[in-house]
Amino acid sequence: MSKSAILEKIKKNKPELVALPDLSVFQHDVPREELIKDFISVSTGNMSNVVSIIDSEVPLQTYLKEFISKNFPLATTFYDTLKIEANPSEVDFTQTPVDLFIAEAKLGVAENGGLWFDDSILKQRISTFACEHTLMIINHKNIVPTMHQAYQKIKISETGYCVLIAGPSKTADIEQSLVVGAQGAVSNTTIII
Amino acid sequence: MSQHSKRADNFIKDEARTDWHDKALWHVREKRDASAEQLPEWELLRETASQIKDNVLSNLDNYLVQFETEAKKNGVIVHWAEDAADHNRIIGEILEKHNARKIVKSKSMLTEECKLNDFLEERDIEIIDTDLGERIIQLRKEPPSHVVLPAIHIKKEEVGELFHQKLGTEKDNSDPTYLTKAARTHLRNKFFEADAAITGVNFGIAETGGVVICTNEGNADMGCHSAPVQIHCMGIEKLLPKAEHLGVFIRLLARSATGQPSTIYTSHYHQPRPGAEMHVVIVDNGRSTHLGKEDFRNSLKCIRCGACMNTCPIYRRSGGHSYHSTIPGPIGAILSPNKNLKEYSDLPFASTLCGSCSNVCPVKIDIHEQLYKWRQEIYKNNELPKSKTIPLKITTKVFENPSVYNSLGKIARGSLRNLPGFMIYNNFNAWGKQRDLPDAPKEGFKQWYKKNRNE
Repeated sequence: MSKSAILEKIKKNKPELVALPDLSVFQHDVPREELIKDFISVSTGNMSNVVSIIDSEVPLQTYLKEFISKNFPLATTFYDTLKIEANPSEVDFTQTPVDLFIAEAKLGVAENGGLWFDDSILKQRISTFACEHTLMIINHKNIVPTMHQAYQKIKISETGYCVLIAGPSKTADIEQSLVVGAQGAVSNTTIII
Repeated sequence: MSQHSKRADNFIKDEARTDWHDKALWHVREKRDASAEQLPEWELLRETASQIKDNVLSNLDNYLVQFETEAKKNGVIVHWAEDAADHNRIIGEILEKHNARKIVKSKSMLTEECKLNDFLEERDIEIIDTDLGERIIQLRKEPPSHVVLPAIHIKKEEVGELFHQKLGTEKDNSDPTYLTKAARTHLRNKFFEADAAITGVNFGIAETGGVVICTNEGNADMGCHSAPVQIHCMGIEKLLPKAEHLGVFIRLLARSATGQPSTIYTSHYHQPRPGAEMHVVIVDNGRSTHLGKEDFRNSLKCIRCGACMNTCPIYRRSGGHSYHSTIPGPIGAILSPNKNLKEYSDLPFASTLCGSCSNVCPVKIDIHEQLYKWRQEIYKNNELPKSKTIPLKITTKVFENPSVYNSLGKIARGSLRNLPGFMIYNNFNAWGKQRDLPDAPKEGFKQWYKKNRNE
């Protein structure tokens, strides 16, 4: 059998056991203001539109409703996990193009502008990829400095699938010219609350 | 001339194009530098990544068993393939069981290595590469010339003409945005029609039985979340012990590859979505044998970032296709001889041994040292071409005999100064091609030293 043959060969050929290195050296204590500043500048570099409403007193639902009608006036179809515009449960992406994806991320990562989503938020995994535009919300208290802290906070096998998204989809496969909107979303807006 | 030299010779015929290729890759290298310099802990990250991989290689059998156990608990179907034929047969069987005729694939150097596309096409199964660069070269019927920038050797005008013919875009329109949008529309339909999706794997996690895939376009996700069957092909060396180790590798991968702080999408797959099926094919294909070679096992640490290619003065000026192997560049030149020493015996010589590749490698593979060691192996196995063995023999004789050495030095200096051009720049002098030899000094070092020693 292939499995036992492969394992036998590895057993025979592998070097003596080497210990794992210590990862505790990668702790980063960054003041919150600086974290948010970093997160915004990296996200912007990744071609996301970033809006911070940390100090706003307007209720989120009200703010978003207005924001969407102002910034996405042409959007008519929604995949809306926050249920501001519509109920997402029955959207069939193969049949209908969907204009806007709306969801709140579990976690944000300052060093790469990434936002974390899993099955419990997405419901349909393809949603955040197949929608034309994405609108992502992140609570500023859930932003961590680096990927080390992200993996301490997130249990990657908690649901069947999770993804870190760091902006709209991109490619530079034609002569290294950056084009935003390859296979996934064409634009991303991140709102920090 | 060796295969590599012949192909490189062809590549550099167009001087302007060679310069363009060289500069495009150097630009990527510069982006990598800028990105790495922003992290004070960069060198510590590289060292840590290298040590994690040392641990993985030293405990690989146990990690693989753990991975399989955990994956099975998650409802994932795990397969083991000893070689490329095994790998293709397993995938063929999965597809047959589901009567899958239309397949979307996201970039995978492993399926390239196994020649999966040819295997499936022979069975009348449509397989579409969905990464834009991969799709371009698939339509051109070419192999990738780089591990992360597969179409780096192609000009936008050529892509414009290709898409005009194959996808019906406007003639003479080579605007990258226009062409990318056309590909997006073309591929969207392919995703939604697909019966199965195949991907490579960046990292497998032993502790959780999941696989991690990094893309900028989102093509792996579009495929896996559309098709009823998802298949992930993973080389045995891709494992990491725990999720926490991903932190180190995700931080290094995209920064080393393109200078981005991370890829746009870092996707972690543990279970199929409801009603769908998820398979992982664990592939050996020579890796377990490679593991037994002490001098060369470090190269199994490779995470396929391509940094060694972007920095290599030979790769930049000879193009990925000159390496005639699935993985080109410096890392390809040390991986390929493990598979077939005879066929790839020219590749370890496609280097100046400058060491730049080792300096940028995120997992600290001693690439240039392995290149040198492969040269010894190739000599021991009598795989050196006559164009190298004969000059080596002559040189040995010369070095053994000081008076011959001294007089030859004098003759060489005199000849370089006085002989007419055609006597110096001809087929017998490979060093005189595409370059001017330096002006020869009137005296050699020995004479200079004798004269100046007492002053």
